[in-house]
Amino acid sequence: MNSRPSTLVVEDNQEFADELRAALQDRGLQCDLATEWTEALELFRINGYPLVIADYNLPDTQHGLQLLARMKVLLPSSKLILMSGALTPAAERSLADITLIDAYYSKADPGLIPALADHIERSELDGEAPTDWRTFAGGYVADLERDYPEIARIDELLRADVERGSA
Amino acid sequence: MREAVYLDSNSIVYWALGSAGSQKQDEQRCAQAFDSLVASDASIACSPVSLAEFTSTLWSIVRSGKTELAHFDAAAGNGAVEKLMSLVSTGRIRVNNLQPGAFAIGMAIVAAGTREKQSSLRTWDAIHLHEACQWSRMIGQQVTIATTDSDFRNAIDIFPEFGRYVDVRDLTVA
Repeated sequence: MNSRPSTLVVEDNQEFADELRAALQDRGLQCDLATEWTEALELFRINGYPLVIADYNLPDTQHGLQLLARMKVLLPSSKLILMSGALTPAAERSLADITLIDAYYSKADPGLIPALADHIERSELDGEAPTDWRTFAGGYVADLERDYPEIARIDELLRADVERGSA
Repeated sequence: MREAVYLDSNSIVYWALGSAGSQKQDEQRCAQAFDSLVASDASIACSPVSLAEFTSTLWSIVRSGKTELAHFDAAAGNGAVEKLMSLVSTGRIRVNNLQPGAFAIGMAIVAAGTREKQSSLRTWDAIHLHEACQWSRMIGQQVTIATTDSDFRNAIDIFPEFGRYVDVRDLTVA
């Protein structure tokens, strides 16, 4: 088993994290886990994960998307997957309009755990290959800073969903 | 036969500065030469070391606060990175992953420079030299190292055998 997981999961729900880890163990995989955003950013700076899977609804911040944006600016080649309880159609449309998130999953999706395990397995395989610099360069999103005001607006939408109990 | 050009990090830095409006003639000349190279049919490559050194120097310049570099702010830095990555993503500039033994051989060249020739070589330059030579061996033709300083010419003067595989072009020379 790889002792340097290439995936960071940001999730404070221990039950969900345990379920995901069990699914990964069945495939001989691991992930690193952070339960809050500050810890997640620190781990990301040290390890530069090719894949980050994050629950939007974490207790220590109002601005999960903006923190993901910081990761993307640090390492544009990283893939970012967002999970949440349920997004309103407006929030979902807004997320689709920005380049920050590579995939979004509802936590209500019964196929979520296997889907995430698939992503992690692909990331591990990709990580064993020499750097594909064309793909790396293509992931550079220098225009992310231009998206920043939009990201802040979408963060507010998502946060409102959380407070209404939907996300 | 298409020319094969290996980019030293300095050539990329000078291109970035010259493209961003530098008043220095050598930076302007390098930017023009670099753009001509990109517009030509030459095969262009660099190594991850080129990108790493470029990144280090670029952001050092942005932080410097020097009056003569005031035009090169964070926006200019981001713009330069974006332009370079665009050239890499389209394949116009190829990034060759380091060959096995690059660091070990680079260290050996640096040590030999002092022990055998009482001459100085920097490790990153030695690794660039090694990588350019390996690329030459792979493609079966001489490679031109595009640079802005005399270090590579000096290295070939110290160890002429490298001249079998590489030549040097100073992009600041008209």
